[in-house]
Amino acid sequence: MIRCDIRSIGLICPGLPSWRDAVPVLTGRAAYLPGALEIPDPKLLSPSERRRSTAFTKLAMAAGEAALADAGTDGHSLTSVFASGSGDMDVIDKICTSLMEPDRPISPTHFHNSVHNATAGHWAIAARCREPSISLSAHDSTFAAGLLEAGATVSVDHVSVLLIACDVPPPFPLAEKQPMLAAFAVALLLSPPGTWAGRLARLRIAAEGSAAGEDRLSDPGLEALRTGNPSARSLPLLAAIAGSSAGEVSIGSDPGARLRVAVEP
Amino acid sequence: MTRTSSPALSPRSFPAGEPPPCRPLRVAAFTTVNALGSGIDASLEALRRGISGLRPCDYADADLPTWIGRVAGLEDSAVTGALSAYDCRNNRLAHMGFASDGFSEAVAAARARYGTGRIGVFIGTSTSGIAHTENAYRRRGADGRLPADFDYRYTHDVFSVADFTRRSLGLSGVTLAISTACSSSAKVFATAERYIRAGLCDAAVVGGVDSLCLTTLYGFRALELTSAAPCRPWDAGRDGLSLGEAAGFALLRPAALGEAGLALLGTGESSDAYHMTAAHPEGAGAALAMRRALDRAGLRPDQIGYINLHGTATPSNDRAEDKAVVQVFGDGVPCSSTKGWTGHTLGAAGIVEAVFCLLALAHGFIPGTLNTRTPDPELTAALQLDTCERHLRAVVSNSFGFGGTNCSLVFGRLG
Repeated sequence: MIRCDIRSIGLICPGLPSWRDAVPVLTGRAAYLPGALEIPDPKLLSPSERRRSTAFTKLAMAAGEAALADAGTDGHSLTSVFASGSGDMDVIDKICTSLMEPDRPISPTHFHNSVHNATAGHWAIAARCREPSISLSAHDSTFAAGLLEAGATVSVDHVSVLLIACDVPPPFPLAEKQPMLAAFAVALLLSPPGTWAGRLARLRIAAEGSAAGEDRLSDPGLEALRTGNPSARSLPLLAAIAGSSAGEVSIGSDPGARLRVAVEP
Repeated sequence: MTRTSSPALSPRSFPAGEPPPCRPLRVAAFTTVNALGSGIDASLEALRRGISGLRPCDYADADLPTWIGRVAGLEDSAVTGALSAYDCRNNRLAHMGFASDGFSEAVAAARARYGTGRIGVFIGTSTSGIAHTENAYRRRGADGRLPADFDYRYTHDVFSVADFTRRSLGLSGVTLAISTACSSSAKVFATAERYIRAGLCDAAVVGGVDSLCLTTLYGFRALELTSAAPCRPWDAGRDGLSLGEAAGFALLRPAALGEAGLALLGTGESSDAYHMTAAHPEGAGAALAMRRALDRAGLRPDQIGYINLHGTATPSNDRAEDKAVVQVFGDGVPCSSTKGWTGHTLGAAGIVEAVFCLLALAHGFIPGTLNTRTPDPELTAALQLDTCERHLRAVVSNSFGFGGTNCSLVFGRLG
């Protein structure tokens, strides 16, 4: 059994620009109105890094920054887990398009941003953090896999972990092959149980969820978002945390990352 | 002589705030397919005889003045049957790996012992099946759309090779694709060790698969990091890397008390926090990863008999790694880079070089540094130029990657 406390959450998606804005929507006290996505400029990035990083990286980093700001801490000593189903598909599209041209002129910046851990690299530089970082993927169950990796690290290595999950819809023509509804980024700051007073929730995670499937959301707009982005598969867990009451959620549909998560305030 | 009873390998005191010591994990089976051939015998023979797998670039229609470590026969070995949707160069390479050295059979035996759901699957890849997407872009219609027969999910998606491995081996335990560039298939060992310690699985299949593609061939050219000659790690005249492709897998399980055999003894991970593509000039992150791996193995630097360097043969990478190695080990521990045999296999480099370390431990030798003839006088680590016989008890393997990701592993012989 994996146990950890959630200290803070950063959330950015269309219609929900912050965790604070998301709480009334996720608890059913306000309607979900999908709007335009606004990506705040991450403060951690220097102007030159801001130019060299992509919208994907900025979105993921902005979510991470929001979680740290809420917890009143910095990322200097945090182990990190970056979860993304597809990574930065915009960069993949640019590279594959360049390869169709004579002499195949790949941009060096696109090339270094094409690695799945590009955001992790930008984050480590910006946060001046030498702690371990992992970047992973498990298709639609990527968020669950990321939560398991982060939770396991908290549990057995007794360190705080910043989990950032982010997916952004690919551009045409990849969008037809890997459809995604909207961009979504969420960051959770996890600590060993009882090491921080103002926790949002305590989680007990078991990697033995039922084959009955993932929890769904009753709001059709939120449910469409949940199934329309691998990182948004976190929404049932986020809704349980926002509700501030004890409960259990199932996330992850893949047998390799099918979790039962008990949430208590 | 077991690890714990040996005075030479007695545990050191452990620093506070760091991950707890590793419980040794037996490497119950391992295999690799690379430019040297399929299976560990092909690698062992080439390592001992000093025969390189590099050749002038003849991958697809790439027109580049560089040498590559290409795996022969991938073009004609389609994945067929129930898993044919996964067919692409990367998964063909993975498939060759399961079929080598009785690896599938070893996993079947573990399945019977632990149950399909209790064996985790952790596979590293950097570019996954991107070559398949590159091809699809070249077949785009007049309307710009990708061809109808192109399937992204089962080929290029980062998770594809982990999913394919799990399904091919009949496993249903926790499954992850780890993609941290050139440290990917070293970090699979660290995650597997963590998951076994956390009770999330009882045993693990770890591995790495990366295949040649235009993205990396032309991408490294754009960064001016490829050599026109076979790569020469640590050489005074080194001028860049040679790319390669490979698959490798290992089966890990907890060692029984007093059990003898090859084992993972320690893992160390860190980040450079310096630059996206350049290593920290003093090797600070790399040194931290090596120290952590030694600490977790409970070993002192002088208890290590050989270091398999990341050793890509770019001027700045080798310089940074040299500084890191000397900081941690001094200049007395023999070390070498095996990239001259296989090329840099990127996300598969960690597992390929882990397998080379296991072969070195099992057969009592230190691989040399192929192609290198004039070691750079500015580099002071104890570079082993020629392959030599040597009884080894514990060795280190280094893997570092873009984004400043570092992972060091300690392997040894128990008993």
